[in-house]
Amino acid sequence: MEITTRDYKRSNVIRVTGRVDASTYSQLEEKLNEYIENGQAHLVLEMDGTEYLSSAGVRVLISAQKALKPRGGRLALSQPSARVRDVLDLAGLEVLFPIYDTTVAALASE
Amino acid sequence: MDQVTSAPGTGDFAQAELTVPADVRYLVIIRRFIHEAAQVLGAATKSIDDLVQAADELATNAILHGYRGQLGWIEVAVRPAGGDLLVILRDQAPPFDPRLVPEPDLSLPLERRPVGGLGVYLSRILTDEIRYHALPAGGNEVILVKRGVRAAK
Repeated sequence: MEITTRDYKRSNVIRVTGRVDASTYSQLEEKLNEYIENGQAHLVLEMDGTEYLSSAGVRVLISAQKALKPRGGRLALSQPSARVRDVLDLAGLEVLFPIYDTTVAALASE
Repeated sequence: MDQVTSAPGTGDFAQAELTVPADVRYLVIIRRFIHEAAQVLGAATKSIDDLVQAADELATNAILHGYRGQLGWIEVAVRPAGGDLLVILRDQAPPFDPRLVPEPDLSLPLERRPVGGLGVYLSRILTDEIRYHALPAGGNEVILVKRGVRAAK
């Protein structure tokens, strides 16, 4: 798994490529926590390169959303692959996360 | 350690097997192994992805909550049964029947939604059936069944 970030004025894009499973989720968790602890509230997780998302990764996403929502922020998901989209739907995440077809759309909605 | 066993005259007794240490770093090997074996057995891509994830979720559980850091092994087998495909997971961890785990309530709002507890649920909805046996000598055997995913011979 690889994580790269792009910081904008009002939002931060975290791009995660590869596989998020029980052996790699902590890297994603650390990166999200870094932004949350820095007071960033509008985060976009760019997932078109995310090949695999297990429940270990889902747990990280829900934790981040729980931390961001009380401060008026949110974690949005953009460009999930069909496979990841299936997992998000099956895990009931579509009601907890705004999901956008493009990162541009996610940024525009902030 | 890879091993392929087969009985002459029928493909249905052929089974690919893999044994890896009970360590989350080997999950990627388990997923690749099931993926490759299922491809060899002619399963459809979507069904392979479902079985791979279901097995990954249950193997993760066995490693993290069964063995809890103790030295151990996860055995994986991929077996055809007519048009069906079976993934068998065995461990020597304390007894754990994934069929008995209650379903999560996905209608709960964010603030009341638990962050975890989705792994077993995903493994159930991604497969058609989960069979469980407590092994006589200790440990668990879980059989994940995906039906009608192969062109049966």
